[in-house]
Amino acid sequence: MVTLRRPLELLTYASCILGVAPLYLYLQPLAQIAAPAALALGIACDRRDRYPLGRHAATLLSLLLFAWYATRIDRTVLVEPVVNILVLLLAIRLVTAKTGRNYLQIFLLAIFALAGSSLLSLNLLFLPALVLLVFCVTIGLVLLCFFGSDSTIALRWKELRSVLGTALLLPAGSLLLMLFFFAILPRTEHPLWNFLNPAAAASSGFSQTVSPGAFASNAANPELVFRVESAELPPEELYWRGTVLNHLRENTWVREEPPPGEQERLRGGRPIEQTIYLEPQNDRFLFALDLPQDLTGIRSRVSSDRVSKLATATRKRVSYQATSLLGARLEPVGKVDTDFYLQLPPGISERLRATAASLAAGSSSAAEKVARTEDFFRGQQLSYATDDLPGTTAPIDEFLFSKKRGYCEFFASSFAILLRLEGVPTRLVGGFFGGTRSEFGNYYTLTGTAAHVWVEALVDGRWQRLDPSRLAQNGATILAAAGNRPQAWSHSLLDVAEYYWTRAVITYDLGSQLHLARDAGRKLRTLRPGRLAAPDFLLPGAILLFLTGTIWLGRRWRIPVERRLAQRFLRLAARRYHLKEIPATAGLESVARRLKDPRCTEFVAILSRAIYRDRRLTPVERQRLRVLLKELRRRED
Amino acid sequence: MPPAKHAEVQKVIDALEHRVLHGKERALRLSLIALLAGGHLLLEDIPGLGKTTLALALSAALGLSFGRIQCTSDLLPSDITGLSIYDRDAGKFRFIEGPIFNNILLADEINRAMPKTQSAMLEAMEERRVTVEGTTYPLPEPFLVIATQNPVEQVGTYPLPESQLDRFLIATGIGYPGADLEKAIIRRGGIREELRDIAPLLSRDDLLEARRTVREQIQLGELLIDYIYRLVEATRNHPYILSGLSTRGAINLAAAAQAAAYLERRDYVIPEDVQLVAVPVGAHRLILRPQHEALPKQEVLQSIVASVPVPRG
Repeated sequence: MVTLRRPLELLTYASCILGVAPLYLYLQPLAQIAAPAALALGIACDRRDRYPLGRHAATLLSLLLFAWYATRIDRTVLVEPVVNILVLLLAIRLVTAKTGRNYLQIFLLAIFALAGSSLLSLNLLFLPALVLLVFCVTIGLVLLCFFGSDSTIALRWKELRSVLGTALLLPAGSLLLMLFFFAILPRTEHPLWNFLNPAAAASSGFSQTVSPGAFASNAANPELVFRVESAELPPEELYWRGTVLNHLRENTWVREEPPPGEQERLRGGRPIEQTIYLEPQNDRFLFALDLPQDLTGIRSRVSSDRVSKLATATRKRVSYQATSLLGARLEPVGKVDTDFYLQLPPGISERLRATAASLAAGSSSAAEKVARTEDFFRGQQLSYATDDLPGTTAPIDEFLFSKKRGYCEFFASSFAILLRLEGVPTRLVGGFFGGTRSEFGNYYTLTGTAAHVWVEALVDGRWQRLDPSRLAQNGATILAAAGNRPQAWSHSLLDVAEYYWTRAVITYDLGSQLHLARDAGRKLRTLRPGRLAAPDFLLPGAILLFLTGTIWLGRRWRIPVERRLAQRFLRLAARRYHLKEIPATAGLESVARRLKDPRCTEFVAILSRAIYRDRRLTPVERQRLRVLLKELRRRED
Repeated sequence: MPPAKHAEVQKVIDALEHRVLHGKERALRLSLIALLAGGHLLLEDIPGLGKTTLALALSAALGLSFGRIQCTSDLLPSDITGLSIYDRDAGKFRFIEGPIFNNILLADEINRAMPKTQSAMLEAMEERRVTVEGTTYPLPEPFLVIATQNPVEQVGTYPLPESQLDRFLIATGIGYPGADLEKAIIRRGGIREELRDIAPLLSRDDLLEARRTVREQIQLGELLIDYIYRLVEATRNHPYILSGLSTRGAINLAAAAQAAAYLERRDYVIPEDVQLVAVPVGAHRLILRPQHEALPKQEVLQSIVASVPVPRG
């Protein structure tokens, strides 16, 4: 016998943990301490049935806390005080005596706490917490119905199992409905959490300006910046274009709008489709494989130099599709404002100017100047490094001639300055290089560590991509490492789960709904028997399979293994005798007697010895029965 | 490993089947089931099919004391129980035991005895003791009543009351033997003479031990208890039946099923055991509604057995 209070208590503890856990890191220290302490104290109190806090004291304390936090709420700080109040109220409720109503309050507070966490962050933990909480609360409510009528009620294990089995159907059904409604319910482009929570944007390693020497060392940010769903590509092709920095101001490369009237077009190249899931960013740049031709699925503005920016700033995760032309030629249409791309600030060192002059001497071809500059870089024995970098006063000069170590910004910047000094129009391109290919999904992961800068020079009437970092003596190894960083197995799995979470939940918005509806409509219109591809059936098939599987497993779970084995045996016997069905009034022994097969006799003897003597089959017996069934089936064949 | 004394009991069955009771195997097994379950047996069939032979053969093979009463309408209760007579030498009344003070009492054509005499046996069958003139005498252990009765209404018969029928654990017919068998019987004549040659095959202690085994070691699982209950409940809710099986009937059904399992060398009961004994144990206890009285009770009960699903785990 189990008193109903016990499972109810366990469910409330579980609900509290599930409600508060996703929120925990965002709580204030008071709530961070109070929540686990109250849970531990509450468990101890429930065991002893003695509580430190009386009903009136608890109410008074709750009111005081409420008043204290209520004064801290304003238009800009709304969520934090609310979730703190919720957690503290929950803590108070845990350490007071519990009636049916109090259990209900705990469940409600746990649900609100979890809902509150979604206003602060919507990470992967939210879904399992939500699913488990739905299960706990629903089962808890069913038990509360019994508890409400008699708080001392006790059930036998069998009865409890039956109640729990029935109670499980409710959350299972509601979760399936949730899945359905998630796909079709109308939604806004601006989710609530986004509006209330403007500070969650991440900063990537990517920056809008490039100023080599600004820091003595460059610690890359390992945070995720975006994921790209695309076909697998050779590592050396993985240049993700973000911005173009075309103006050198003192020692800093910045972006200015390209000269008015300038136009560039793409020629040739191999089209590559990508779907990009971009994490929240501080800026509005959109990334795509170099060179991007077209961006769809998002409102964006494209400049003539193939830089795309979000039309409106947003702090949420976005997804969009891009088509890039791999190996295409980026050609200016009409005359290029070369002066714009040759601008240099004053204060360039004489040594640099002299070097440029010597590299340019006797040559009028841009291609030759580029080749000579590359040779010069190689000759300088430069190393790719992220620490012990040149100082801030004359970083480029120091990089090329004395320190001879730096990271991509040094390489790109110095290369571009040299080319500009030689009279070759040049600009920097900022973005990412490489990416980690997932072992389990068809996508690349790009983190801040992959941020990269390279050069585009106008050579033979086209903007040619040059990556001076490759000219470092250790460039090949450094860049190859950026191409594909091996991941731990568990990390890969977590990453793939997060990827699908982002793909299926976070970036699923009105646009995706419309896209889905349009796609379905189009498919229905063009539906021809026998012309459906396998992927068309994949999702509905998987859902159907999942539903059938759940129901089947649920029913199987309720049937004891002994009865299942008996049913299998009788089905086999019926087939053998070409009977539709063996009547329910026929005993196993009489069926075996009719079959006149020693294996059947043995099967029935083993099974009967267990079921009619009120005991379960031992593992050895179960195994033997399965073997016998298999043999019987084989003989039947 | 067979249950205790199973070999000895089996020897009785084999010997009787082969020697004297051709074609009466079912009746013989049911008789032994009644004996092992500690109940009484009612053999019900038209005269001349071997009811008395069966009873005599059984008692001869069991090596138990045997008493026989040929019931007639002028049979008095004291003819069964015994009576006190005045012993002049001792100068006091002395109790002379009647035939009921035997291990096996064969009450032949019991329905010919008048109700008063029939009811004299009630206490004996249920309580295993007899009270005469204010003194209670215990009956020997084991005590088994084998009664025979003719179903066809004849002049001078008194049908057994329901209360007494309920005290018989098993009621069964004998049935006509098969054609070949009957011809063989015709050819060689009756076998009453051979009965005298049957030597006891089972001692009283053997029988008591076998009975104890049936009672204590043949397991009746929860599933079977539930099955028996569902059967009994079905007789109570059947539209043709006025009064279904009593709790005593259900207890008897369980005991008989245990004995049936014992005869099959099993130490647990299976649904087939219950099905085997359901009609012999239950049919005679049913009271049909007046409008369905003409229906054979056995068939009504058989239809119920054929409608209740057996437990299969």
